[in-house]
Amino acid sequence: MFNAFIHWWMVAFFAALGVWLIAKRNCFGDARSFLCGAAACDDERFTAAIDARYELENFPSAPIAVSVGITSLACGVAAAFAPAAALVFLYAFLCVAIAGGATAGYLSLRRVGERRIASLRSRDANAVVPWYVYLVTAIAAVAPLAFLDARPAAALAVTLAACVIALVARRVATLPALLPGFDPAVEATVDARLRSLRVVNLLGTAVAPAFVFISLGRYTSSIIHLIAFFAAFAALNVTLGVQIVWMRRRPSAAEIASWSHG
Amino acid sequence: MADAFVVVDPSLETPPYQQILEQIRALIERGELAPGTVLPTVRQLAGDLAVAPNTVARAYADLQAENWIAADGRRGTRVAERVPSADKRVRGRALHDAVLRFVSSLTHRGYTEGEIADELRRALQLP
Repeated sequence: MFNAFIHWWMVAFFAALGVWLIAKRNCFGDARSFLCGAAACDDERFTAAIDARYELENFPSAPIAVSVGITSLACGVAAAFAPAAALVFLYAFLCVAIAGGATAGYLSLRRVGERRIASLRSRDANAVVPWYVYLVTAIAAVAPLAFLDARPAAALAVTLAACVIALVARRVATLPALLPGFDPAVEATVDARLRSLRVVNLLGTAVAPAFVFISLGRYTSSIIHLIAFFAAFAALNVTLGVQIVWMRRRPSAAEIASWSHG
Repeated sequence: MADAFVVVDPSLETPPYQQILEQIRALIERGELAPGTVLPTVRQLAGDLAVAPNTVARAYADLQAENWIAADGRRGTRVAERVPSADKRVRGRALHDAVLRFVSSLTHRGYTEGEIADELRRALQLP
């Protein structure tokens, strides 16, 4: 009974995600969609900097969202006819497709050619997101290896998917800054926030396969399995929580004051 | 302290390394880059400006040779604690040279002296 419920829940999840991605194809992964909550503030300079960044990036939202959406729909169809044991592989496959989309986005950002202005503030790629987000992601990414004894192939596939996505996140953290040049002080803030949001979003995507793998298996036969489950659960919640909070974060008074001196 | 920025304009005749060097030196002279401030790595600045790492490395090397900045081992490159005193005559000559290069690059691109003067007046908000 439980297996049948999980099976059809996953089918519905794949289908819903596919439809949602295709419907939202014009606002997926771009500057405006990540900073939509922050942009709701009254600061015109901040909103203008987000708009300028959006125009400069010309992020290929539609092709990426449609590709991943179609993959998700295909996974839904496959899941409807596949045995329950294959669900984890399908989910891992979808996550790798998301990583592929993220990589395409990363490559498109690298190709933006109008970059000619730079801040002289030193950046640390390790400080783009707090250390504990990296820590829980690392633990969750390798958590499926605790199930090597029960499902070795699936455990390895899911771990691999998580590592690929985490690697893309690391590359995004080290991307050059992209300042359109109209209002550099504000644009530097937008760049830092967007970088953090994209990285934490990818880290969340990286830990999701591990969580789904462990949840679908319902392995609670040993203390190691339980620890792996809670590690993946904690990682997913931390990354999602940080992302939601950051998306709504508006410019602080100190930031706005510093812009006036920029 | 507010962020400091450098711009590279590929349409100028001044080589990019020289543009970077002059701007960082000017920022230090004006006190906008305080002594001890950590500068970005060569790789970071080159990536942000979309120039070759050698371009930034050359600018940093020249600034270091003139004692404006100092390499601090694994802690990175910093603005020197005791920057060279800004000699008024040297500053004046640097400004003169920079303006000459600027005007020369514009006249080579077909702008007349009148057009340049008008635009400068507008930019500087002069009557």
